[in-house]
Amino acid sequence: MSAVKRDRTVQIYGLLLRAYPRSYRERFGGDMRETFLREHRNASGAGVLTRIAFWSVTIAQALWFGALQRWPASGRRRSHALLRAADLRHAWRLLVRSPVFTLTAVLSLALGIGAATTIFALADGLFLQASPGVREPHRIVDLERTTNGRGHGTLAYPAFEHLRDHTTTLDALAAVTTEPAALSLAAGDTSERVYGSGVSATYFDVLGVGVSAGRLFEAGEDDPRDARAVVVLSHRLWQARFGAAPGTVGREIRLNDVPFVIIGVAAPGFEGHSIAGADLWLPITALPSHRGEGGRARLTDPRYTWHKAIGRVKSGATREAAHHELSALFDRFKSATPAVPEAHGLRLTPGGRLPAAARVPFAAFIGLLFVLTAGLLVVACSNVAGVLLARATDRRREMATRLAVGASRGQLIAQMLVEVLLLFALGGLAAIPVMLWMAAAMQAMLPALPIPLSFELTVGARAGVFAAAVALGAALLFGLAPARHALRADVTSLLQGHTLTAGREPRRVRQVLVVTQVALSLATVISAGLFVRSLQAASDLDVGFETRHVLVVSLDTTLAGATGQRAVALTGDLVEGVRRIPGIEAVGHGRMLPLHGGGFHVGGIRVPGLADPQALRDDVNWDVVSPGYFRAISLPLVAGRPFEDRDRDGAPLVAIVNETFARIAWSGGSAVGQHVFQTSGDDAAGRPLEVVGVARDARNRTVAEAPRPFIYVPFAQQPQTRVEMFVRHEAGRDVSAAVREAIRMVQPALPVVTMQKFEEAAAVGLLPQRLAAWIGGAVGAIGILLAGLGVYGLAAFTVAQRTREIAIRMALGATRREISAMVLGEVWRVGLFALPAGGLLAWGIGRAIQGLNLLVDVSATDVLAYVAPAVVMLVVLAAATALPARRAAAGDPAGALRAQ
Amino acid sequence: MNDTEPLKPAALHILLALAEHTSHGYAIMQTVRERSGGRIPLQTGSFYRHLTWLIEQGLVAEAAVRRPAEDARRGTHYCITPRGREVLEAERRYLARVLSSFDGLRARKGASS
Repeated sequence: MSAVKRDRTVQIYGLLLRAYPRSYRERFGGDMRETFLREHRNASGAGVLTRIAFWSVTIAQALWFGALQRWPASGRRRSHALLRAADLRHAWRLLVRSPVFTLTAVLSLALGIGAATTIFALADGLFLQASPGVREPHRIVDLERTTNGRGHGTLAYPAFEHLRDHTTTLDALAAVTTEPAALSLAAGDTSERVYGSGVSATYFDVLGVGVSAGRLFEAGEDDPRDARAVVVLSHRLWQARFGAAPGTVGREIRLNDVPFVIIGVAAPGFEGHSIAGADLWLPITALPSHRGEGGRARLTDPRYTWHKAIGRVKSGATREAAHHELSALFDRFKSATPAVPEAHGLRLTPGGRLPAAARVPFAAFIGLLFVLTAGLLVVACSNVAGVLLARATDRRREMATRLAVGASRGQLIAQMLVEVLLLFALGGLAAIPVMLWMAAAMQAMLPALPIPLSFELTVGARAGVFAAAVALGAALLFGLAPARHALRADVTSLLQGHTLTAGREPRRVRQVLVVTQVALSLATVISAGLFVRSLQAASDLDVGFETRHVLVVSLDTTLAGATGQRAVALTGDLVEGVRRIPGIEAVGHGRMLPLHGGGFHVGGIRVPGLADPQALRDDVNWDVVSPGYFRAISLPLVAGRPFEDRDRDGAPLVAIVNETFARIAWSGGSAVGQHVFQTSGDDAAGRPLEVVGVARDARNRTVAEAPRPFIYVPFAQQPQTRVEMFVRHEAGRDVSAAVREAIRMVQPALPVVTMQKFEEAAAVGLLPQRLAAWIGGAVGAIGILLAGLGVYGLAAFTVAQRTREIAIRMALGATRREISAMVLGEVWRVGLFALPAGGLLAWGIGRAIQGLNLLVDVSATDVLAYVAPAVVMLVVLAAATALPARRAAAGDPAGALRAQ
Repeated sequence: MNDTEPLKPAALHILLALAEHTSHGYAIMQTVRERSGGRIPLQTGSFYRHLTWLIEQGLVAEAAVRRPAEDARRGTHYCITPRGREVLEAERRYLARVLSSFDGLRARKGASS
């Protein structure tokens, strides 16, 4: 612990100690501080939740015991019971006696706590928790390659071998494919699609995963010269596919038509180290894809980067030491192997379920959702605090009476504290269904993904602890002020009935609370509005191609054992077969699914004579497409020709670029007929590609992006194995069954990985906006409702507090209209102050959203997104003040004065 | 305090720890935690609450002398008073009676089955 941090901890604890009476503090304070510091040091090594729990208990104990020490209950007490049953019963009776208040408070607290906890569960599952089955996850590290210190790149296998064999700071280092690949599993006479990761033999050692049957990989089983065709199943696959039969181990199965022997089953629950779930694991050196031409090169070529690595830091070693050592090892490898680019480096990050590259954007987005839901929680708490304050004012006479007849202040505080805690505990309990519902709704929003997720948004014990801590913290923060107010009673004057003129202070507090509510809920609704406007803009946006009436069929030709020119022949047959279906207008295929968030490269780009040679180096995106591709997705060419059948293997290499590429490379001149060079690690000069056409700019990765330089090359000349087939059909015609049948007729062994509407597939890119609009909208709408209740409460409170004054004014001749204006004016001043505050807050959030690239063709100061919520807010304010104002004006002055 | 009202588990464990030797706050807490197998969840606040009560009851007192070798920062040392030992002995007798009831229960069960 750093000295600064220690000082801050001491300061905070010093503040907490002030809860105790001075005499107690002087006697025990120093000792308590020392003891606390040691405890804190022990707790600070633990997880976030343990620390939250530690601080919650510390704060609660200091406040509670401090209060008990200050105001010991008079008379004989039963030792020092924390919670007296009588207080609880009394509190319960009070809550039941005002059901409307209780219901509103519990419901709004439930929504606030539930929403915040659901987002916490999301963050917890993605960031704080390790994948199930992993032992001591804090010691796992992810290894990535950097280029000039940046990026999240993959490693080359020879580099990995060097690191694995020489590291002394890691217990084990394992290579693993970037994501599980779809494999066709045949055992007996049935086949089905499963997902498998290629891993080195050390994989299970790194993760500390146990075995439930047979054995896991042995050292040397992944030797590239003698890779054994063995496979480890997940427990789930073992149960689902093999009925957990004991005879499974030793059986032979076929993966993509290559025989493998099952050697074991991993421990239950383990489905891989990341959120991309795997059904089985095979030696990374024995992957079926390594059997094709060029496959061996993957294992021996130090320039071929293609896999990731994870390691387990030795107990006693630090991550920094491991980073230092591995970087040095990598540098040594680099200097001994001239083929490795000088710019390459190594980075170690803490292991996690999300790929390191995805962590920052995910964290930022979840943080945004968290801010929105925390805002709702504050609004809900302010509301409850407001009502508690009003009740406290009402009860001052009761408190004064009880003080006068001999109750101690400690007893009264304890009792009020119990009331507040009970209310918030009920809110926390009622939050459970809210959380379950929100979790289910969020999961239902997830679209079909190409890889099964090993992640379930569960509301478990950790979320429960979080919710409890939030409820307790909120209760102490928002519930204690009213209690204090109720007890700051001057017994004599209160008993004489001076309540109703006393105290501007509670009104001031309520005004602040209402301003907070109005401003926060307005800001939330405006932020949600920005997302709604983005979704609107996105649906009107011309992305450059047509997603309607197009079916996307994802295929993997290796599942039928076809790579290289055999894959070209296979896809050619598939396109022919599908085109013959009645109602099909065009068929083509590419490697990328546009608007799906990712990018793809098959090499670097060199354009001779380019003024700025860096301009086209980093962000050029590639796609490998068939001749029919441009017609199938209606992407027009602005110059030249599309690919044709003559652009085959052996013919001159050709390419099509987009407008942005052409503008950067030839700044307005004609692109058709020019040459660009496709470079690779082996070949820095590159091979020439003749540009035969220019395609219109389109949004490729996401709808929110600016156009990027893009280059298309023909599938026949640079074959791939993953294929996205686009099938354009007549509007309103369901051709999916016919397409499936046509594929089966051409190649029965080729499973369809996924089949979906292009429109729906493209919508994945808008998932963050959809989620934020939905959560923000719901949270904001509830927030406005609660703010309305808060304003109503304030207005009613103002009227009640000023009854006497109003009566006197009316007796002196004020008209009902003037009285209404007086009451309305005060509340409206509060509301009108809150509107600009909310707008300003929203502007800040809007700028942050814009910074995250989440706004689509919408400005962060979109007028409609600001004005519409403000108008709604004004209407709510008007409605909330109308009734109390009328009641004030309709009052009976004589009666009011008599009642005093 | 009399024989009929048993000590709170935390108070009992603190007394037990002090009966062994005079000690300072943090060490007592650690001993209690270990002895109870973590079943007595003491934190700083609750520990001092129990300690204060024991001092008020005259069962524990501040130790007058501290051993010179000890780290001064560890603060005040506490020791058990003669009255504390009496209460502890009463507690022992009470618990022994509880234990013998258990044993009797087991014996009867064994006989009937």
